[in-house]
Amino acid sequence: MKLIWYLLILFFFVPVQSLLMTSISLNGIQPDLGVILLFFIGLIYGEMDGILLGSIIGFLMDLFSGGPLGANLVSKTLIGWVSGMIGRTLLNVNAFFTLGSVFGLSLLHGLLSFLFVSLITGGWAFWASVRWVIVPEAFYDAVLAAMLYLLTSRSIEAARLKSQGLSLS
Amino acid sequence: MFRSLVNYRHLIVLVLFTTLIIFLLSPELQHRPLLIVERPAGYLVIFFQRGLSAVAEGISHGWSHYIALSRVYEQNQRMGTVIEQLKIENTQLRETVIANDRLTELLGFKQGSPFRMTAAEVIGRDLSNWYRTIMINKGEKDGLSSDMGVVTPSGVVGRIVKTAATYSHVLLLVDPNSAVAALIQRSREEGIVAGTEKGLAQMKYLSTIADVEVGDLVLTSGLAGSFPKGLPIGKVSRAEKKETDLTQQVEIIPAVDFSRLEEVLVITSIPF
Repeated sequence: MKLIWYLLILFFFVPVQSLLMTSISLNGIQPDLGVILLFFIGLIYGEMDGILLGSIIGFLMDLFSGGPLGANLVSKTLIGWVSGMIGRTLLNVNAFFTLGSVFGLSLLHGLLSFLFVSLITGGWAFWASVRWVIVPEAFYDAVLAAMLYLLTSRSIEAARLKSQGLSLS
Repeated sequence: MFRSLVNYRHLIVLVLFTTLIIFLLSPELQHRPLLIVERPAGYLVIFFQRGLSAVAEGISHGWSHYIALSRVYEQNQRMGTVIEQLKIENTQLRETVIANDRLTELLGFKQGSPFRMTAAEVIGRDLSNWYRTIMINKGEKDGLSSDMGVVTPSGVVGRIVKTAATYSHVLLLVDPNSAVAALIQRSREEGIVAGTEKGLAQMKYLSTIADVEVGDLVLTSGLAGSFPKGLPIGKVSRAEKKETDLTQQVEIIPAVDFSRLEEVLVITSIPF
């Protein structure tokens, strides 16, 4: 089942991010489905899956983006790893926790992306990037992830317990 | 020893990944990122992207049809269906007329231009907020290569930054990394047009004594290779002179609406 989900992510991530996420962009800022997905995957399946899927999603994003190879590969791998650590460390997860965690993860992702973009291509000023891209994207990602959690909380908790060898009573 | 390694296995995997990533960042791979993986991955994902785009369009049509039908009384169902079908046909016909107008304008612009151009369709937008690019359905097979200029009859869109066999990425004029040599039509003052973090465009390197007014038309100067001289870029919306600065801050409203791009023309050769 997990493999099917991963294959679906692999094939449909780029079209969904490119077509669906751009169509719901606000003021030119689109949510990053990669960060949201990696948070839930890390939460459910832990660090190894987070790192693996993070590197795949990051690589795909770099291939199908106008930017250089590396920015998403590195940042998404790290986000997958941190999400896995969060999932392993914490027992109770709720919508507010999801909101805060994804906001933090998205901020981290934005800062890492800025670092890479500055190192490789340049062109972006730090405070303007924080104001116009990093913070708005983090808000958007966090709200979307919290909404997704509210809609699927039972399935997420069941999958989380199953991956740890437990079950919902 | 072994147990402590097992305890740190996640960290070890992460370090190995990071090392691999640093290897991937070599200038050679940046120039042509992993051709072996890019080609097949590109074909697969583009296949799904085109499929999903068609499915999304189908679902959108089906959904509106269902909503309309559910509100119609049973005895009027057939009539309602006919009306809905006629409405859809009408919408499709209008869409065809609009597309026809758009394509006629594009064709007229292409035929009237002294340089060679290839028409392409926009099939996607950038996946992240860090690069303002669009994906077009023409690539190396169609004779496209990096640095070629992309335009519409309204004006400059951007230039190609990445190409694959069947698709290309176009860096839009409003990206902070974009740079187009430009001049003010009225005063002939020259500068460089680049994007801003806010998603707007600005004209750089205009001295404080340069003659710039709000409403001035900005055109390509033809000094850099991608664009011929005289293509519209936009209009000056704000020009600010500060005593402490060496240059003016000139904001431009682009001539092209980047959120509504559907077809573009790639300039494949410019006569000198």
